[in-house]
Amino acid sequence: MHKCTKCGREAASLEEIDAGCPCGSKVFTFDRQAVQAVASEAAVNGNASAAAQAVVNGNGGNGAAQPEGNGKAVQEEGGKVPESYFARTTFTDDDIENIKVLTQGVFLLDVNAISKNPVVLKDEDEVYYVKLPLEQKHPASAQVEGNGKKE
Amino acid sequence: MSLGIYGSPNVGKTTLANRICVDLADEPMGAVSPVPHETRRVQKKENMTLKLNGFTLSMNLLDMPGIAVKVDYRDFLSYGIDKDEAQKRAREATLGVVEAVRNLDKIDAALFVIDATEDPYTQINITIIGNIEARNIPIVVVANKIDLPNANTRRIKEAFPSYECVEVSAMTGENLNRLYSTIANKLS
Repeated sequence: MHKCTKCGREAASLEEIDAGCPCGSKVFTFDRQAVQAVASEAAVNGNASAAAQAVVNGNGGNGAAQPEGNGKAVQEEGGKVPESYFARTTFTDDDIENIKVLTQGVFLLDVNAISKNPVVLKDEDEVYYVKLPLEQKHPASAQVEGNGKKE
Repeated sequence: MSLGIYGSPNVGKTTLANRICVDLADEPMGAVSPVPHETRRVQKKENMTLKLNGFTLSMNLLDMPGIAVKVDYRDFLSYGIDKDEAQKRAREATLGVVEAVRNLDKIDAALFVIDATEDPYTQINITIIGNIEARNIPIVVVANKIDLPNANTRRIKEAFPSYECVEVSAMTGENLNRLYSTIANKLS
């Protein structure tokens, strides 16, 4: 959920954020707590898809895409109910991954952890994938250093 | 200074670390196993002294967990490990990969171990060597397992021509003296 910093109005859509608040302000803050509350509620109800969507879209308050259906509906649509792990929408200290696959095509990212560690993703079969950091010496700096040695 | 031993799983990092520790400190570093990811935490041996031709180097040796881009617990099942233990091992191994990558910022020099019986053109070899190089950390490529009949060190030298490559057998100790003198030359 995004709130206008000037008048406190909640943005109903991403388009409204792009266009700016009717009060004239174009600055919005993101209310993480409200989003987590809705996401957690959806997860408790067994609707991982809605929970993930709430987090990914940043929708949590008025005008937000509310969770639809329940676990059964997810099962009927996707053919599989996410296990409780994948229905969780927060990271705990026990998690070593920093990206969760909440349901097919929907991911939850621990941005803070990603900024410090390699990207680690765990899939539904409990298989881990690691994206190694790709740091290469800049050709220009390597050349400068090389020239320095020669001189 | 800290010398880190890097490489993919099962290339002989801990065997090499054990050999160095026995040579320099008279005691091994850790357990070795044919099961991948036997080393799942960074193992450290401190204050070892390398003396060679008048050169003395005091160092901490860090044996890193094998770096992999995928850790699948099912790979461990074929070694007779049950599913729960295999999943625990996969989790620990993944933590080990993260720990090894984070330690790139803490080492002063690196031995990058490559299994000479395998294709050296792998994502892990290229990426990790690139990361070490980007940090301006001195690196020695160690072509290990030359005691095996299908070892091919030429491929490794062709793959990484910019780096000094030492052919060794950590298992038999062959050419370890050459590795020590290379380390001494590199860090003196």
